[in-house]
Amino acid sequence: MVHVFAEFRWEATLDAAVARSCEEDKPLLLDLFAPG
Amino acid sequence: MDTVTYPDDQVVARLGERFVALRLQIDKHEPVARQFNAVWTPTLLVLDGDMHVWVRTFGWYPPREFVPWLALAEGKYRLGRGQTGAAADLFDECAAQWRDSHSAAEALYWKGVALYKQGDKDGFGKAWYRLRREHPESIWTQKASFLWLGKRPTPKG
Repeated sequence: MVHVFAEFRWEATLDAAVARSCEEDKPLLLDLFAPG
Repeated sequence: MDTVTYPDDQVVARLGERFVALRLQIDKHEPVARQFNAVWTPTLLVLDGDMHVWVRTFGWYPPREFVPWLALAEGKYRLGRGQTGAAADLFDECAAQWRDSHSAAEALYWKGVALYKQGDKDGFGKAWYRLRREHPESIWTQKASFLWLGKRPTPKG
């Protein structure tokens, strides 16, 4: 069986992520990470 | 997270289908890091579109723990938005599909809460007795234990 997973993309900005979260009623996962 | 966890197929599927996702480097987004109290990295938050925080955790997750954690986190998000049926389903999925994960016991606890909020007192009790049966050593079982210790307060809700 071949599993085809949905495309996944990171949003570019907090504003864009918030807007899409509202629009699609999806939770927003925010990962605050350190460099390196 | 970016080298092991996020590239994992199951993580990709779960995030892609059910979440909006954003990564911000804390030294380039200091106001956001301060706003969300990022005292350790990664700081992982689940927010709604009004920027309310429903879940916050710190530190790296391996994929086998992150996928169930995402189900649990979405359940809390749905519960917080009053979507108790969807929340109960997500908690049940987490508890059933990833029974050996560290999120499973907490998911059963919250499944009971979601059912209680729906007015399903029988389902609430069943979820918490299942929690005791499947995860007897969990802190979540201890938190539910007033149910069978004869000291049952009325859950607020």
